[in-house]
Amino acid sequence: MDDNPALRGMLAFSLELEGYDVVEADSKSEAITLLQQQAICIVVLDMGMPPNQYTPEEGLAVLDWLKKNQPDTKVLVLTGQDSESVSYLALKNGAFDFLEKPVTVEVLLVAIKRAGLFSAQAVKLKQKEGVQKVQLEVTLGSGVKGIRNQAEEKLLKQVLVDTDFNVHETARRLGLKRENVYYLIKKYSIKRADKPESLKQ
Amino acid sequence: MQDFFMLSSDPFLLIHWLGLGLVLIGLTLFFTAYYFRRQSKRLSNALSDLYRLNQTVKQDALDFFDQSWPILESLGCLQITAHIGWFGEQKKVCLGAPSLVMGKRQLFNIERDEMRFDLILILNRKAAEPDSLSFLVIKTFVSILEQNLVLKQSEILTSQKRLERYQLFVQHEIKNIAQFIQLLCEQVNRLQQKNTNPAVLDEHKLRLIERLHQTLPIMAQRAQKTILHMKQPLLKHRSSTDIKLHVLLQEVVKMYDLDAKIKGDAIIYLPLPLLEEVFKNILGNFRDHALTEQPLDISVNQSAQTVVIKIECLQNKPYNKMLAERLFEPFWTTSESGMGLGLFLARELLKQMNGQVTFEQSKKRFGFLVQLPSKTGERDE
Repeated sequence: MDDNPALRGMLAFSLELEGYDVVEADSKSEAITLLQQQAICIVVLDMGMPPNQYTPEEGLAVLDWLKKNQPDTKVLVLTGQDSESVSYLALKNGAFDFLEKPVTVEVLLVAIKRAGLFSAQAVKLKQKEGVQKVQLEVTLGSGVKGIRNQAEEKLLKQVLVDTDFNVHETARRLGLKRENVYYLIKKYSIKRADKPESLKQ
Repeated sequence: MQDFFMLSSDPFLLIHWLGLGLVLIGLTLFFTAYYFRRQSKRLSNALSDLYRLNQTVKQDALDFFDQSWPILESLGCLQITAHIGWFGEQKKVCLGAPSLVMGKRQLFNIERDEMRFDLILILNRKAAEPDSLSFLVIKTFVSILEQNLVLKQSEILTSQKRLERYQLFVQHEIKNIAQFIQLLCEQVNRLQQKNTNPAVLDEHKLRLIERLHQTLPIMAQRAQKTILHMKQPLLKHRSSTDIKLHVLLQEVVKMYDLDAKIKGDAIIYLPLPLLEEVFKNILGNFRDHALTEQPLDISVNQSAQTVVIKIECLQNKPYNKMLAERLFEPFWTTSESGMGLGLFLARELLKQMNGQVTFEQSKKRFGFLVQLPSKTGERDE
């Protein structure tokens, strides 16, 4: 994902030669459309894209969308923006790794392989042992009710996405009754497709 | 007595007196209306003059202040003393009566960032009355001055943001170009690997050429655009090194093709790109503005605490006093090509290095005095 078509093309070419299937996107909206259309396990993301090429807003919006809708996707941030501030924001918003331009293909490949390994192992953990990882962002000092709700909501969302919103299967995986799943969906106002504003227009 | 009773009882005489009284009242009302009309016209003229002057000087606070004295004087201002702080330069201005005069003092302080006006106005009794029309105009004068400072402040902010945006653009694009070259370089190296199957190698070559055919024109176009935007140098490398001042000054003098004699030397421990930028900005003024045809005298003197670099030259004849307080003002320039940022940047960069620059002028010579922290003290920290 990069707004510079020449650089994006060369990056795609380098990865294709290493045997990866690559799809390209030049903006947040195009990226989200592609992510909705096909299963993508690793995203190489540039933070600055139009209309905010020089600030991380667009990249952060993609990270935010992924965190909500496809939390298993691993994101490698590859950017030319200020590494100090942007890496902090990227990791805070769920990026798996951060690379500063320019990088060698070797470094990029190592990061991609690592992300692929983590992605595959997470799937294995889920399938074999039923372990679902949930990442929580909490501020301490205001009790545990909010944290419990957040964990409940995230877990339910993840399982719903995994089961393609099959309530029966979600209830089975979570060990709940279907009525309880419906109740929680209503409680947290979870919708099937959480499209970004740009796609709604 | 009898006559009086006769008069008062005469109805014609009564009408006569009544008429006279009415005429007197009418005249009083007329003159009162005339007085107010004249006053309001005076007020209106004074306000119009102030606003017109502000338009003429293009809302420049210093020019507005310098040229508004005749208007203030006509309103009853006897003397005005101003202490002006303008981007690090101090100036005292006294207009009107040359010595102390009797009158009521009014103080006004206006301050925005590095711009400050401390005004002491001596007003005559009439103008000093808070409800008088003159005082209203004087307050308007102060408000316009304040507005001009706010305008200058926002202009600077906007321009700085624009410059920051330029820098971000250049950084972003240069990193993309570097990344592209890095990838290209690695792909070309890959073609030279000897143990690769020739058929695979040929296919690889074809694919690379095809990809380059698509991507190179775009990258060339972007590189061209980046060059066009490179207005300001990137000041990223701020790590300190030992710098021989004589050598550095010689390089900058040569860069600008200036005629200069450099005396003395010192070694200081500061970030080289920043210091080079400082001297480029200061010496660049002598080139861009053709301030003198005389050679420059540059002297370097080092003491335990500071290094003083004096850059000066003989004054052009006739003696032309420069606007010292405006030299360090951002976006103020007399050159058509310049942005008016050189000396402002030099001062800002020196601040980062605990140094300073001042402008000095006498009837014979003028120039800049740069002070930098001496080597030992900085390194010991």
